[in-house]
Amino acid sequence: MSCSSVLQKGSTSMVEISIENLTKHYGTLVALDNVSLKITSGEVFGLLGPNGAGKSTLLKTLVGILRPTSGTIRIGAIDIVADPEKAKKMIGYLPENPSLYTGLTTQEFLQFVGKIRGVSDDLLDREISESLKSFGLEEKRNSLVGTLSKGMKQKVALIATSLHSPQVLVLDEPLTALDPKTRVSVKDWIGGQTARGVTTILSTHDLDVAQTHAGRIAIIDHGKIVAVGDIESLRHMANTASDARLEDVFLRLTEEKGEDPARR
Amino acid sequence: MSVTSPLGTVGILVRYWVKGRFTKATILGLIIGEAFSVIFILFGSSTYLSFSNRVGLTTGLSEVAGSLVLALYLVGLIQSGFNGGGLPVSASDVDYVFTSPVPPREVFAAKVLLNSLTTVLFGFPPIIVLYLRFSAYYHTPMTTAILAGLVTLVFLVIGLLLAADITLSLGRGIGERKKLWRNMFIVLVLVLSLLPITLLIPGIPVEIAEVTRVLPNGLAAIVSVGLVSGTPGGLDYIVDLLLLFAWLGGFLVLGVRMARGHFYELLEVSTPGGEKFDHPNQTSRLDPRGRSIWSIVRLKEKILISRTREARALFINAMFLSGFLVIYALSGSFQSSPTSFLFILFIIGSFGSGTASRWIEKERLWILKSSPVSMRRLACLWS
Ligand SMILES: Nc1ncnc2c1ncn2[C@@H]1O[C@H](COP(=O)(O)OP(=O)(O)O)[C@@H](O)[C@H]1O
Ligand SMILES: [Mg+2]
Repeated sequence: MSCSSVLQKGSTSMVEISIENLTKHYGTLVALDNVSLKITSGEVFGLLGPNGAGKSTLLKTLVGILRPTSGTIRIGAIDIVADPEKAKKMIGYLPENPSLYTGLTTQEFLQFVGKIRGVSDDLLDREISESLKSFGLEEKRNSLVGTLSKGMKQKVALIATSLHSPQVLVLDEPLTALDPKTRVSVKDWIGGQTARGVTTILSTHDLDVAQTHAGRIAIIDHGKIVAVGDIESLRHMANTASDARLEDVFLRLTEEKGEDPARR
Repeated sequence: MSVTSPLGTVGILVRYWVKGRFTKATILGLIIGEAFSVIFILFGSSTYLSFSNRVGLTTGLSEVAGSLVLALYLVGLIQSGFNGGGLPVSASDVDYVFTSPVPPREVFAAKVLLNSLTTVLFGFPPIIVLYLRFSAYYHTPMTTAILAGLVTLVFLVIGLLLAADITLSLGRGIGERKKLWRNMFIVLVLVLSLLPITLLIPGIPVEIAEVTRVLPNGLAAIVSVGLVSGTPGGLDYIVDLLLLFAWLGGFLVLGVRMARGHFYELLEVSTPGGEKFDHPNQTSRLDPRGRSIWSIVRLKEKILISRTREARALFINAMFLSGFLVIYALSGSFQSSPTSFLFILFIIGSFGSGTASRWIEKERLWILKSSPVSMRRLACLWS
């Protein structure tokens, strides 16, 4: 699987993400509790945490589907709440379980997504053809999305994420529950995107994924950021040996907080 | 990047939504569904007409009955509006439309347009059949039936807009004081539009039911029934029609204004299959400490009812029905009379309102798609 066409697309302008004191409540449930993060431009940032930690909530708030209860999010200089349209133009979002429009064909679906993101018609056609080719999905161009296999759907979702050449990528568990072959092509794709200088934030509960892709990692548990840093500094924080695996570091860090009686 | 005009975006949204929905199989299913509803309408209207002939129902009473049936449709939609179903969205819309730079106002416009289009498309055949049956009975020209059908469709669209507006008004954009006014207004609409029920109590003057004349359901019923039955009243109809369109315009402007900001969290996302709960994750409210068994059972019922929308909708319908039964028992006239006929109408209508609360654009189509019978195979066999 080659993603060379994606790689050749030149670099993007730099955009950083800053999250300040972000809190999100669902009714009485506190899903995010005063989260602050800064993701520098061109960085691949990993968000690591167990199920229910608040990863998806954070990413959905970041892309403007959910509204923060309090706090601010800025994509570059733009506040996502104050100027959502401008911010959304810069973002490519891959949902945790993408719900594609199953009644459209692959081509129609991608055209739809591109058009409402303001991609011009001829550019869109070129983009769709190239992407389908690089993912080996050309013969599925006119198949209904609902008839594609899970792996193919994930690939179509990836194409949809980057049709408008976003400067920021928000990927929610991009590798979860995929077969090994699809995992490889998704990994290639992520590599190709980040090589363009796209600022990327990806969530995962898989430690290996975080370790291979992300430069810096934030560990999130019960809606709170427990630790931020690269593998080395996380090891240091958790007081583990320098050859300790991320798994141990992770367990150590979430355990400490997990026993905090005031965590609700 | 090309700059797309607002109208262009609305057009794109509607075009692809329609494309994604109407596959050959769904169209076939819908045609079958339409055929059934036409048969049902023919049977129902014939029964009604022969009955009104026998008992000597006036067209005035027909107008009131029509207004009552339309009121129940409104009740269903108001219910669905409060449940967040006034603007139905799918999980795909959340993932791909809400994350796009399309302004919320245009998403709103496209949703409303699509709802109206599907309603008009699928509502028209049964409605026109109904009015043709009436115009044949009253010996009025066929054009009156078509006009009456159009008027009723305008009413149906008003109902959709009302539901959408209610859902939008649940947001934080509307202040507490305004919320009070909104709730009072809706209660008023409900009470007024259900006033025709008083007809079931003998001795109460028909004029009370006429109060509904200013409401969309009353206006639509009076004009539609008036037209097909050949009741004279030229200028009155024009005034009624203008009022009806004023409701339409009013609800539209209100909705577009309210849809200026972020409203996505107010909407109920339909997930194919499975029960719908108010929130995907519930914290336990069932705390059995220090309670009698009875109160725990009651609490459990209460929680279940508030959790499940379908159950709540049915619950409200049951409330209406039992309320009606009380009135009916008090009136003590269980013989064959216009009253008992209206009773049957009411039962049909209240089920109709339950359906209406779930109707808007979505389920009807999805039931067919998710049914175990392969519609695709059927479609292949037929073509
Ligand atoms: N729409 C929602 N309504 C209520 N609670 C929710 C909703 N979405 C998520 N939650 C809750 O918020 C918490 C964080 O969920 P989520 O962000 O999906 O976690 P993660 O993606 O890390 O697994 C969980 O306890 C989850 O049950
Ligand atoms: Mg998640």
